[in-house]
Amino acid sequence: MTPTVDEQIAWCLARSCRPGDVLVVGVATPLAAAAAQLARALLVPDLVLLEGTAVDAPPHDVATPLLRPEAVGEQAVGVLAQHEVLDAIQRGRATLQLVSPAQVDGAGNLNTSRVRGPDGSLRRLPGGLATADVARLVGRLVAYRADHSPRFLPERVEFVTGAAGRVVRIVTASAVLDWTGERFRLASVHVGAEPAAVVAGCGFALEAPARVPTTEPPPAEALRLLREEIDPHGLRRLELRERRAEALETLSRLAGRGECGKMRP
Amino acid sequence: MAGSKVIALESAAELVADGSSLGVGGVLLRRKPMAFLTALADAGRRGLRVHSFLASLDVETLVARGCVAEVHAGYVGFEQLGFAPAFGAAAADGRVRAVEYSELLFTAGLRASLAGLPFFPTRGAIGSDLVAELGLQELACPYSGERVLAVPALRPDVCAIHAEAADARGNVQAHSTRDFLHDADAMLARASAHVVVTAERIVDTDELRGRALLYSYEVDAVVEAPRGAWPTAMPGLYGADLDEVRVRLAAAVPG
Repeated sequence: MTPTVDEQIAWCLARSCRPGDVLVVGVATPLAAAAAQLARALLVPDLVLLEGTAVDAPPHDVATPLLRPEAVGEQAVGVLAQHEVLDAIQRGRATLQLVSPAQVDGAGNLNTSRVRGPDGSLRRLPGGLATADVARLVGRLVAYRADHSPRFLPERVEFVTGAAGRVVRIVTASAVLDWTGERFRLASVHVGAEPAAVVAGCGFALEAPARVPTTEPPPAEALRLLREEIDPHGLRRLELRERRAEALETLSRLAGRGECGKMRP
Repeated sequence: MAGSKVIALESAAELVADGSSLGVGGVLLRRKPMAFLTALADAGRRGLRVHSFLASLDVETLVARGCVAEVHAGYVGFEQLGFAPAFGAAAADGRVRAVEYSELLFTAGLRASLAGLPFFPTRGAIGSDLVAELGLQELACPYSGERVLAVPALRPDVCAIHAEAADARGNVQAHSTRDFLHDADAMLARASAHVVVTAERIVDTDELRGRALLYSYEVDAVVEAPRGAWPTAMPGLYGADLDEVRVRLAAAVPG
């Protein structure tokens, strides 16, 4: 089975989880939500998962929180109050978050607030939610987006929503970049991507080894889980620009049928 | 009934003056007091300074109808359905002053107000460009010297929330589902100077005994508004009407 770009990214995100992690998954990031469940199923059984404010919900279709948000809370071990989840983050209890900013730069600054439009003016994005906070307070951040261009990876972000310091890895449509402590280094390129093109497509100076490893593709069991159990409707592709409209239609159709996704026992 | 706080929707709209700061309950596409906000727009309210933790159709509707001078929020959008077109256009051309918060900055402001304090410290958002935009000051802890941000109390003049049920005295029943940020409305209401509650049903006090979200002394007015959150969701009662939301967003796109 050949993985699609969203599946490769999900596997890279899942591989970023470690034993003992308390992983925060925010709203509107079904690809991160899928990766978190993949990690818990195959790699890190003891992973603690905070989905929004719901703690350790059982395995479920990523459609569920999009269609009927309360269903996740009902089956979770518990649901944190608004201030409880933010306090937990402020106390340093969250060790990992998967974030999808509009931009991440060579220093690890995150921008989820404004991007420059074709006419050069700054366009306002919906907003950063807790990006400014988690950039300071969550142990490790992994930034991802199904893109690999200077637009996503600029020399310097247009606006610092979240200050640099916690981004340990960037997963793009073509590669994995790891933070060395001083800069980002090309850790691997996905199957089919050329190291030279990956370096050229990055807006900041990217250190690259002489021989660049190939990113581990998702194993067959990961693909099966993703496609059949974690995200059978393909809603993770809401995060792919060219597949978004199609995934949105699927979401509308599911909502119209009154479906809410299955919680597995 | 003596001491009843139940009033008509149109009367409740008069509790919000032009130019006042308005706290709006609900989060994203859930529990937005849409019936009340529509009544405000119908009454021709202008110059509102809207405070909404995570906004969607609440801010978009008020901005589209020309009611808004400022928007204070951690997010204004529709998650997978995309951006808020009227808000985006008004913010871009300066008709509306958009003020972006992080979640910890917004809740720190509310918690200062809740605690009756002038400001609340937070470790969130340090190093962010949001800090200068909001004009926030850093403060050194007098004991350890740690630098924290001091967020001034956020105290809306009036807050509007939508609940499943309330009694005539103003006791409000807690939301029956503990979904994402189910408790945010109580924080916002208690941080505000005055509170308007719209409710799916007005019930006898006995029906909500033991599960109050807000108490009568914290609520100024109660309005019966069945399906008052539509087309946003009232979890446990009805889901978000995504088709209706998409229709409204398409109508707001200029051209």
